[in-house]
Amino acid sequence: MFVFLLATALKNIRRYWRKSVLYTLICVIAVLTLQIYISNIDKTEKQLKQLPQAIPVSACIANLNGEKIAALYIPEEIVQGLLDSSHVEKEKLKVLLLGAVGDFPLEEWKTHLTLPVVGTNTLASLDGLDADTVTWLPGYGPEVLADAEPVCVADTSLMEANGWSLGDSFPLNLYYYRYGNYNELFYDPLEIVDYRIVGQVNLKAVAAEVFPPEIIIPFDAVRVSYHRQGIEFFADSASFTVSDPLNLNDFKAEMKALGLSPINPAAEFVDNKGNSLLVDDVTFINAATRLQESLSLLKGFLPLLVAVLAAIGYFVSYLIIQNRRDEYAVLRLLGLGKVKSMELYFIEIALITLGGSMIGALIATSLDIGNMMVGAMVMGIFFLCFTSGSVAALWRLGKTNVMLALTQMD
Amino acid sequence: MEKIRAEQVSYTYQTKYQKVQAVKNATCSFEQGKIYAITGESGSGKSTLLSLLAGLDLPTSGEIYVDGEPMRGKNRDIYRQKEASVVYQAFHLLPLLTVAENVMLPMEMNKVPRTERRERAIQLLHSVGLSDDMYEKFPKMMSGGEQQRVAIARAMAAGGKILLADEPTGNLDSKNEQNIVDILVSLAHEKDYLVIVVTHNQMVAQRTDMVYRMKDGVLLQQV
Repeated sequence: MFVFLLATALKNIRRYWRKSVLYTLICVIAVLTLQIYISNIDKTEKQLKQLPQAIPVSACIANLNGEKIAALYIPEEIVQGLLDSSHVEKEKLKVLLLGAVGDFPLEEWKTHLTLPVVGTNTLASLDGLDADTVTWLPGYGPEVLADAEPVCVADTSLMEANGWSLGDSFPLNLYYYRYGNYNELFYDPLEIVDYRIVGQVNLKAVAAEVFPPEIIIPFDAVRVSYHRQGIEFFADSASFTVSDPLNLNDFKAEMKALGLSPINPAAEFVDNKGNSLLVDDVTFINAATRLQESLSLLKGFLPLLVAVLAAIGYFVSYLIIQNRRDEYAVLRLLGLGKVKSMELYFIEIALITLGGSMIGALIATSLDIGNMMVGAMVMGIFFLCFTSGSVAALWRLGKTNVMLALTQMD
Repeated sequence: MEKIRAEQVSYTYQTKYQKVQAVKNATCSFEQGKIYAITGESGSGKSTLLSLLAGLDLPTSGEIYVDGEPMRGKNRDIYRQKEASVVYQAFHLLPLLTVAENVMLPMEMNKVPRTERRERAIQLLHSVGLSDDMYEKFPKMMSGGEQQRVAIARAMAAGGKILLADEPTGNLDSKNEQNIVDILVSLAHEKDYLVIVVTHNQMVAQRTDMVYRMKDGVLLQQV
């Protein structure tokens, strides 16, 4: 019987070709409209997803009123917390030191303690330094700063002054700074460690740095020295990128748990403690909010659109089937059952709907409105909506009193 | 041999404004191989009774038996597919199907093989007096008499032996009317069909084996 129904449905589509073409056109237009709508949703979702790459959210540790983001006292717990956090990436950590070559008598510190040294985990933390200008010892690269090996990048003029070459080692006498009770600055000895020169660059040309360093050493190598000497480690500055700005609240909650509070620009007492967080998130939040509002609006209207499609499916099917009420009565007269009769019309409507939606999806894909996946999803939604409306129309047809219909036709 | 029997059949239906009892306690029987007429004025309930005999609906009360089996227990769609057929005054041919396709439609429903369908359709159309050049015509290209013959051929296509006709000559001139009645009588007497004709035309009624008269929904028997 299914073969009979399918064959008859196909014949009917051909026989009622004008209505079939019209109905197909309606399906094509409806699918195109739905595809444009859903593509908009898809695009907006993609924009939202890609927003962190387009508008990265950066943050840095600052003092309470946000005026200082360097020369701070950032405890190691906070530093480690940042390194361990899944919300933080591309950390730029720095610790400022003073250095000298080899040991010297304490009273001659002014003569010897002249080398600005920066311990950092990445060259990117040094503003204005082009990492491509560094000459590396073969086998070494910028990744050495992420480790704790006692290697360094030295200023070219320093190397010339000392007659050093790449690969040479020298004893680096490190001093760390601390603040006294009245914010006065002290330098205390840290450790003398042999550092090997694995990179060379003109550090004096790094104009963006207020005090350009002459030696760059790995951040973790400095931490190792502090730990070896039993001295409490602290970093000078820390900045990073928020890895998932779409979860800013979770990020801020974690930072708060670390002991970092939002900056308080109105704070009266200001010290050097790096215990506040400065987040550059305004632009991102504005853009994300706009996108999320658009998305809410689009998604909010989607059920209405689906209902409209179902209604169109109902009315179009109803108009088509209504004109064939007589035909339905004759088929019932000839013994085609109620359910089979409705199946016949349903197959006819479903075939046209499927054909129309496929054509609509193909046109949309060729016009670059969405992609194949969106097209397939749209086809599925549309087919379900339209046919559910058709089923409602067929249910009405099924309530026809055949006996009265045949008599009225007379 | 009794083929159909109606016992105390009543039928009431609801229109938009009122309830109508179209048939009241009708009792009658019909034998295979005979032609019957049900006559009466318009609105007497004769078409309604015919529709009930065709299984288009069930009586509100009473029962109709076909070969001793109550209509209520039968699949009435299969009954109309394989046993009983109806022709109407308006012919009820499907306008977008050719003559041959109209006649083959019941055969398609009954899964008659494709190769047999066309041959049988041609035989049936010949049997009602239609020539070969009619087969690919559409109903609107034919006269009333020709359309009614096609309707009769379609009714025979299912293979059943019960033919119910509701005012089959109502839209025809006297010559075509005569031809159609000849076909119906021939089906009953020569091909052992049970033919029941609803008509208000006395000439048609006179050619049948028995006449039932209906008045205000009540069935009366006349010889």
